[in-house]
Amino acid sequence: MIETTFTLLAIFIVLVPISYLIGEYIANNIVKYCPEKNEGKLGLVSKIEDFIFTICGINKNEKMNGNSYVLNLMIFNFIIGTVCFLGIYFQAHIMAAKYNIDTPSISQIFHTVISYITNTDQTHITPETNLTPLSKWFIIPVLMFTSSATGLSAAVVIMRGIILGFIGSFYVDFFKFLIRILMPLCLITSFLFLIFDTPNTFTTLVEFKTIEGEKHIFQVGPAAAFEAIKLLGQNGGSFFNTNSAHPFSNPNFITNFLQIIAMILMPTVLIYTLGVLLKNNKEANILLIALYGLLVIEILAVSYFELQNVEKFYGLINNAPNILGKETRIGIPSTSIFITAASCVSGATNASIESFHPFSSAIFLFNLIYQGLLGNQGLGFISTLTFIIYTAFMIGLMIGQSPQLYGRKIEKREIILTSIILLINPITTLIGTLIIILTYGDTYTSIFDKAHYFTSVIYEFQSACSNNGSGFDNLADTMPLFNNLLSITMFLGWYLTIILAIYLAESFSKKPIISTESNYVFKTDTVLYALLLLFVSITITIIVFFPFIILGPIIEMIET
Amino acid sequence: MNLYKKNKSYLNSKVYINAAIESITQFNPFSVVKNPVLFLVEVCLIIMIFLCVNPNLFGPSELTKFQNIMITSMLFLTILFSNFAENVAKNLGKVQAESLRIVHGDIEVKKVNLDGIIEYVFTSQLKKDDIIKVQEGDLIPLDGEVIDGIASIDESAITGESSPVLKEPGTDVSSTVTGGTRVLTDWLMLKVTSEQGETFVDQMLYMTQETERHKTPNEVSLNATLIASTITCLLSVLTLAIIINYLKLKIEIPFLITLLICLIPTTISSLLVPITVSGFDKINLLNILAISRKSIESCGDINYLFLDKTGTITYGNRMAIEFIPVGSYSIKDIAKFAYLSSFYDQTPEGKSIVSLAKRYGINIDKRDIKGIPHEFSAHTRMSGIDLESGEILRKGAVDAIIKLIIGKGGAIDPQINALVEKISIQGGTPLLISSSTNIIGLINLKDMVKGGIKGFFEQLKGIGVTTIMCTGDNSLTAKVIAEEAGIEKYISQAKPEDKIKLIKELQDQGMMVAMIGDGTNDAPALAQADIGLAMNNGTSAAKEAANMIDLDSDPTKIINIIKIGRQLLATRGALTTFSIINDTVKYFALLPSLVPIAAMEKINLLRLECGFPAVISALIFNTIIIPAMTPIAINGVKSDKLTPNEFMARNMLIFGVGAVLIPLVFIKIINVFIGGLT
Repeated sequence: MIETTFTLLAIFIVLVPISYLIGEYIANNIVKYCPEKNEGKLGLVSKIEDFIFTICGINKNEKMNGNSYVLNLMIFNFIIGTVCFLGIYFQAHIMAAKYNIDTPSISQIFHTVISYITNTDQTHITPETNLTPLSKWFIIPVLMFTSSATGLSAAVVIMRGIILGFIGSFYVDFFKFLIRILMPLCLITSFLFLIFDTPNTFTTLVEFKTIEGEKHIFQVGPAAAFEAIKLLGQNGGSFFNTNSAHPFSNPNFITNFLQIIAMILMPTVLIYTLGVLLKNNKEANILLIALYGLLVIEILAVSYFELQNVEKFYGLINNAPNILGKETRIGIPSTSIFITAASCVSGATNASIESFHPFSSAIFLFNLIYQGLLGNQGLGFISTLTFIIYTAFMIGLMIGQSPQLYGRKIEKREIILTSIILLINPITTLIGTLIIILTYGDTYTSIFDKAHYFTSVIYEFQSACSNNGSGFDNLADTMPLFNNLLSITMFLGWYLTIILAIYLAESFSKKPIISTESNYVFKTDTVLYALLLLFVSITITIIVFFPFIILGPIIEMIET
Repeated sequence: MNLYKKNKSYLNSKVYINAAIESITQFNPFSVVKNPVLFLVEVCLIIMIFLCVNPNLFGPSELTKFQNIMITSMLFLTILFSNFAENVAKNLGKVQAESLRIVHGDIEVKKVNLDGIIEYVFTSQLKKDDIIKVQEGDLIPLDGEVIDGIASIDESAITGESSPVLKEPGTDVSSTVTGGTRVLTDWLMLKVTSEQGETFVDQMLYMTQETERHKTPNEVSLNATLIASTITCLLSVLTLAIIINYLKLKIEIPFLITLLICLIPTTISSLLVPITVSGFDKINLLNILAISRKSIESCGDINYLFLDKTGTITYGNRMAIEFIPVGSYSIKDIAKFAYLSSFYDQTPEGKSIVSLAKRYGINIDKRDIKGIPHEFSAHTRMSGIDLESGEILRKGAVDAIIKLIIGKGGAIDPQINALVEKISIQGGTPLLISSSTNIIGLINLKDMVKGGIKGFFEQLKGIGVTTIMCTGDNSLTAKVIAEEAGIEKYISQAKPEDKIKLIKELQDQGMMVAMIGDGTNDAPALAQADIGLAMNNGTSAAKEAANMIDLDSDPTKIINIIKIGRQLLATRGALTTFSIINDTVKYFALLPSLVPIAAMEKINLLRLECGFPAVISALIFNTIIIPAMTPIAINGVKSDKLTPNEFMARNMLIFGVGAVLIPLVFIKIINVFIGGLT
């Protein structure tokens, strides 16, 4: 526990100042949307940006309305997705002669493309055996960057809509995030990974002899570069099948530490961006205290459960902690932090989630349903904001004022859009889970196995819907029906949320700003507000969550 | 405000009997469908009725018919209580107007024709501007204006005040009568100002009936939230049912229905209408006629209040407060000269000078004043008297007197200028008194700020409203009055278009502006403001432009209106929070005792007796919480002088933490009790 606490402290010391600086930069250079002003400040970047805008025929001052933003975003994503789908489908015919690759089935490819373009990275294929280096080095990273920049653009749109009162242009947002934020940060991060022993090479295959003397061929490549976008873009799909548990992906304690920071960087940054836009950093800090407060409690709980003797579940030696499925080079405390944070933000994993204590997996499940606890790239921010809208709504009603958020009234349309965003998760995951359980679930007989299967399936769907991507590794999930249902869930969880968020932003942007000058205004930069936000969000989550935890992890826990 | 207490005289058994009868007729699914949550309860009720007849309808069940009947009756009571709460609130408002209902039927009235002949006609035949005569004991059929006669009127039906009010023509307040009041003595000639169906009482009744058809924006969005929450709960219970089935565990259908009913926000759905209706009743009790319910809710958001200085902040008449002698004259001399020169001045200022002089002991009989009086006129702006002794006394506006003296060849002492300026700076209006070619003294006239008005503005400030005073006075005077009344902002030398301009400017900055006015020149500003409150004694143009009319013409009531607006929203918010948390807690308490695994006992924190006793206890609690919360819904949550954050924190402590503890305690108690019975 002490180790966990100190690691957490170290993480925050590094995280907070960096996020504030990047957050301020995003607020001033991307959200505020005044390209003329900052030209002198970043000459080179602006020039590159202008060059790209000129080539692509993008008007950098364009202000789209909600419909055209949505349309452009969807068309752009559709084109990228289609190209990548074809690329993987024909991968065996393009420079793949020397690799012995099983091109996956259409439903597998479809699932993979949807999964990577929606920032989920639920990998049902094995990157080493199902993808050629070409697919792995180019197609997958393209999808990773696209999804990441798309998600961030959506988050920026909603901030603009509510605070500044306009929407902006998708292409400008997209390329600005790509050029100004994601590429430079990935470059820096991959160098850091490189320094701390993560391999990065243009060699594709390595041959070596194992201890037993057998010849073994191993696929390698630019792992450090790949890991950078995997974590910063909150994608979570690794170069290697075992993700960050693989020694080439996450070689030591220090890379693990860096990976945790990279993973939670962007959500923190977006909250600071909000604070800068509101000209109230205290409010951003309050929001972060609320969110990280909850996360820290969860992390401490998880590391407590993992340090328990779990002989009861997995038949391990008496009085030993739960080391099953964890990497000893990283250790239980850091693994707990990594996995708990990852269950909030991305599918990256450095241990086997399945072998965690049932209460730990209940916490991960809670984070998936919550969605807004930091959350996935951009979408997490939108989810946090839906909770903020509900909290503002409740506060307005309870102090006897028409509810307003940052000076704009919350009325029927906003509440309906917000409610639909919140309902996407329960509706899609429940329908998917029920279909799968009723189709494939009869193979299990004991109540423990059934409960465990239920937990795995609901986790898989929750992870798809919240675009997280993690999953229980023993789950048989490659059936076409399963793949297709998950693809639909991911698609709705990502694009429907983005579309609704853009319309929500548009709806807010059309409202006049109400003055908050009067002294009868609820002060949102207070601890009371943080408590209320947590209270509202947890209550909403629990209503959805409670039956599952009772029937999944708790039955597993008690029935043994 | 306690509606029950205020309404004591109306609160008879009739309210409850009527409410109970109406509650039963409202079981009609078509009338329930407007409330989705209650509709779901009714659907469950119908399913349960089938299960009462045959418990094995959906497969073998271990529940007895009696147990099913108990669950069914609880569902029945849930709907009944919710209808009852709604009807009690509605009837409280209705009863208030009930006594005036007779006006709705046609009654015979004495219409006075153009030639003065009295003709008997029915109320429905009366047109606007018709002249009618009402006598002792008559009911005044419609709103009207007194044009002749004098009578005492019993207005208790409208205002609740039992002492009779005197009505006579030609004055502001006492020349309007309201339909539904009764003549106690003497007679009146009235000019009808509203036709049948448009009177205050009619509108009051109309608003009470209209409560459901036009929802305010806040109600609409709250409803959307409740529907979303209901969908989530429905999904959650459905999944639970399927998963339990998959796990090959068994759960009774009535138990699932109970779980659903406990989970959906029944409490707040039942109390939404009572909360709104009672908010409206409270406004009516204040004797304020609101044109729409939306305007009441927006009252809570007001940032700025526009007030006319005259009549609201000050008495409206400038009064003499001081005599200032110049040169060798004593105060008493000046008082005497002022008295003489103002004796024939019939303006309020002139009268106030005379009465101030009387306080200095000057009291000269009219017969002793010998001379040629010069009455005050707007043209000369002075009055006075040419005494027989040859003295020419004049009193008037500074520049008028100076002009007069200079015209006669006199000179002005610079000391006079200094005195004039001093009075102006203090917010007074100086008048000069001259005798022949000499200025002998000054009179300080001042507009008096009403007593207690400062407290009113402090209260407004306390609830977050900035007051802006509008006045035609110069800025010096305006400033002094504003300071005396404790107002921060004022606009001086304001023309009607200035008011509109300023209101628009503030609205563009996102402010909510309220305006109180009574004159025709206020009408555009009243219409422009978000809340326009017109005084009943004001002109009809003002009343038409406003969205609220104060029948008592008391501007200080705006505080109560704002408080009621906020209280209405706050009550709704508090009960919503209570309801949703309450439901979540019930769910936690109930679910472990529903899943039929022995090991579930470990997380059955309440140690409820599993199965039917747990289910029925939660359901009983879910049902009785509705009537238990009805008084809070009708009376509203307390809203004291708290900052929004304190108010929020207090509401959360009471309705948030309370919602966690109350169900746990009461479900356990009911469970123990039921366990004892079986």
